[in-house]
Amino acid sequence: MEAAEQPQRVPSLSRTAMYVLVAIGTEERHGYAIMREIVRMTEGATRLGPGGVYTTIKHLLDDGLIAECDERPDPELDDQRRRYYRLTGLGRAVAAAEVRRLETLVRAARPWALEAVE
Amino acid sequence: MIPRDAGHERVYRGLLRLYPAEFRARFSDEMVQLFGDQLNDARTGGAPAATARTWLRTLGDLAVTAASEHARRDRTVAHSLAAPPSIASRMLGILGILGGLVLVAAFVPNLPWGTDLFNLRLVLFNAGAIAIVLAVHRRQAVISRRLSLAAALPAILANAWYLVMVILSIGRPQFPEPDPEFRPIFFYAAVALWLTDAAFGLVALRLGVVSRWAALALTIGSLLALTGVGGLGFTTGPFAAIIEPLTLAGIALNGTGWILLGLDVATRRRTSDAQPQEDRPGG
Repeated sequence: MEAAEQPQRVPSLSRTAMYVLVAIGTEERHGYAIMREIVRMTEGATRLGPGGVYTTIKHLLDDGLIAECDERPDPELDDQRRRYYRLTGLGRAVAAAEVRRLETLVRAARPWALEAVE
Repeated sequence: MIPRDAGHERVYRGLLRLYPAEFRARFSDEMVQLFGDQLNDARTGGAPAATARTWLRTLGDLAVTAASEHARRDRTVAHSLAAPPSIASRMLGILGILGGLVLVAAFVPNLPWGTDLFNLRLVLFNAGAIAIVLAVHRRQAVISRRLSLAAALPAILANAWYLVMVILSIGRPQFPEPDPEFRPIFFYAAVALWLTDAAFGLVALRLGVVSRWAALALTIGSLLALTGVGGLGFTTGPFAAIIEPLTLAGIALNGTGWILLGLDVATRRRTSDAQPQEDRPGG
């Protein structure tokens, strides 16, 4: 497994980019699987279209946060046109940094934010 | 399983033309497939008007992401312009500066070679202008290849035409001696030269890749210089006394424009309006 490299400067991620990184996670996924995973993990609240999925994939590829897989997980069972993507070490590190940032934010907001709306 | 609807996918593939070409080349097959998968899901779910809802959502997605992808590509283009000028650009720029200098030098009184090398100066001026147009076009084409070419090609042809006329004029009768076969053609060459220079300056102004002051000087200078072309009659009419200094100022301004453009393409990094924005990955 590729070692997680430490980003010299952690770029802030858009919400969509973070969704895609988390949707890929430790798997190798194609665009449709990423889209479905986002629907599942957000309980249907976020449904990306093909444009949203692939512009984000392109930016993440360009930034080196994800990479295209050389081999298909199961070529026998799948459409030849599908391309699979996985997180790079840098992608994992950036996602981890974003998770830590969000955790801090949630920790700070939890004592009052939920009470305010309940 | 409901069979994939090739008609919907074909329409969607056509709409993908809204994305930049390089993006399309890389992802269009996958996007069409994902769209087909979404349509399939929608119809399998059996919800009423599912196909129409998928289309609506997809069109919204397409409009937003195609626009953002174009904007992002423009920022990348701007970033590429921040690179230092190539050796070719430097050479073309220096030739253009020389061409502009010899034109402006005509206004310096008592230069020893002022009269004797008149034609050589004009040849160098036209060659310099062609060099600058080429160098500027190399930059501008990144923004709008078609518009840049529409201005650059006529300017190159007109300058080349004028250059040939200057060479052919060597040994022929000089003004005010008549030369009815040759001079009318020279007249059209001069009109074409100033008009295409002005148009090139206007397009450079519009595209904003090179110094706007240089492009403005070239445009105004060329139009003022045009008034001095003999066959147009401005220099012999009642306003001749006003037109003549304007013409000379125009020629000087035109030469200054080429010099400034030469300095621009030979030396300047594109950093002022081409500063890449801080991108959010995936944003």
